[in-house]
Amino acid sequence: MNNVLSAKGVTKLFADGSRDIQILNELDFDLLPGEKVAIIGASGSGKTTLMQILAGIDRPTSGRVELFGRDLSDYDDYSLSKIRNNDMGFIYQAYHLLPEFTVLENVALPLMIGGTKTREAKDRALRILKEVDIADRANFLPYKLSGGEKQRTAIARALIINPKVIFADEPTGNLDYNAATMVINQLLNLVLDHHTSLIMVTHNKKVAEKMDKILLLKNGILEQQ
Amino acid sequence: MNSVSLVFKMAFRMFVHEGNWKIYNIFTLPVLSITFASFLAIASLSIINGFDNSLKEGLLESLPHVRITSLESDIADEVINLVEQEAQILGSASFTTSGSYVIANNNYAFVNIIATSSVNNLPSIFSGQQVPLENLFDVDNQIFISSALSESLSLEDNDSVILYFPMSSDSVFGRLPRLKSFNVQLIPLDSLMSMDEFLVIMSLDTFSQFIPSGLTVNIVDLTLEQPMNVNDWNHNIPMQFNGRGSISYWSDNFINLFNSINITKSVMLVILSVIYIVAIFNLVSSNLIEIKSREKTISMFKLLGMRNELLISLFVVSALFRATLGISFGVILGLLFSESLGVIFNFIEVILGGSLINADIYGIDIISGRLFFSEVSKLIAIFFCIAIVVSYLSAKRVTKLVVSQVLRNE
Repeated sequence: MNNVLSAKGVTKLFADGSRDIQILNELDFDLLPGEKVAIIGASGSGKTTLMQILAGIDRPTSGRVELFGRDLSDYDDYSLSKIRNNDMGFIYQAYHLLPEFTVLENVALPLMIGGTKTREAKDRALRILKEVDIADRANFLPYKLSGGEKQRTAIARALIINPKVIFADEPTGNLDYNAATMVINQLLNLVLDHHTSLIMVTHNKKVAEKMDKILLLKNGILEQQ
Repeated sequence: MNSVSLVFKMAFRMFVHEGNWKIYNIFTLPVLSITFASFLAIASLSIINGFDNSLKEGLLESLPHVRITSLESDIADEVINLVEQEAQILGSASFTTSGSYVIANNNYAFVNIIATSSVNNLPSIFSGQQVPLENLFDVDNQIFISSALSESLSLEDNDSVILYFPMSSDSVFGRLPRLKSFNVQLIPLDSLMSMDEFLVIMSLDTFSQFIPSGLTVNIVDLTLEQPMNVNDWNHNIPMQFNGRGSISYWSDNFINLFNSINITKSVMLVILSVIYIVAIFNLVSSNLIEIKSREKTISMFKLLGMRNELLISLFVVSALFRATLGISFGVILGLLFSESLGVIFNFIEVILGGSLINADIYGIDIISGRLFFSEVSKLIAIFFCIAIVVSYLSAKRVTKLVVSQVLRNE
């Protein structure tokens, strides 16, 4: 089976004054289609940096990352935008919903950016909002939603394009236990339904245990748990 | 089309702060400063155009619109035919010379002609040749000058002066002598009106020494339906007719005055453009602040696959909403100001207890605002062009945003 994503010998250095700090050290990583991987590690270990490099948001100092078999450094800005719009979903701890747009519009946005007609985009957004059980909030502005509802909206937004891979950075970090459990269960079910791969950075061990694979990032290297 | 409507929709929502709509979110400092600058530009244009127009209307009521001066009476008919091809003539009056005198101020002396109307036999006065005062005078014949002028020239009774005519060549009077001597006779100031305190008078006999004796000057004044337009067509009519006569237009007599008004207008627009530049700097800084405050949203847009061009468009349109609001309000306020300028003028005069314009100097005592559609639309177009350019330049900042840094701690 072809990897959705693979990283070979990825190293990342950050300049700190006159010296360089090594965050990632010739790290390898593979993600299969439909696979769910949790990346855990101490604060400052480089989990988010790794996720950003895998998603093509950041570039490694050395090494290569292949997305769908093609080196990410071969993609220009336009191609990367297109891939993000068609094949990648992002979920963040802080939700990053557009405050001026309704829940429905927030979810429909990736499709509209991709050129789908507004009506069709909204119909599809409504269907996925039903899947995350917040269709009744479709016309609400984000500030009227609870944390759990905001995150479910963010999940719906990430999934509406049927991405091949979702990157989730601490998706339950701002939620209480019950809300976090509900959100994670919904996310995992949807990922399963949509045959989507998932890379999740988390501190939450219980959440991590629900994944197919848990990788610990320590000293710039991934260790399978 | 879909992305255009998406950009406009998103930019508008961001502009009105959908969900958190507050008046102070809309009327921010850049909007207010653009409003102020646009208002000042329109209001100043209205005042200066109003002044220009009132002045012209005042002059047009008292001046002939076209004057034909000739030694041959048939030239007038020839010129009238030419003028009729360009403009509608409402009326005409013709005069022939019957006397003359010189009138002078501190800078110039004018030889004036007293002419009699062929219609009602009433005398009228026509300006003649302009003479630099420093070149006036030695004595031979007699001229009469006011005591005020005699003081400024350090002249006394029976002093000698030489009257100098710079135009010794062709004029309507033929070939004039360059120099002529006179005896000075003072006119007591109390026998003159204030406006005549620099009067110089010479007899027709004296004046006839400048022009061939027995020569009659024919003057025809025309009144036009639309005298304001003379400059649009007067270049089609020759100014001189081989020394037999000449044609002049009302605007020629005050060309320096109107040129100075135009210079004032240009200077004013330059000053206003400085104010507008300040407003534009406010717009730029607000765009940059907007981009800075929305870094996370922009990053998310990028992750959702929004291309840089679309992001730039989004912030350009968002900035243009602010610019449009500012310009619109400024223009509307300017138009209202222009419409009510007369009332405002009167009000200020009542408050100050005096007149703002000296009617003795300008011939008008009130200004009505006046705006031309072409000028206002040109001004608005310039404002928009500047706003588009600076909005684009500041919106380009979104391409420099490093998503990984913005979202590192999220």
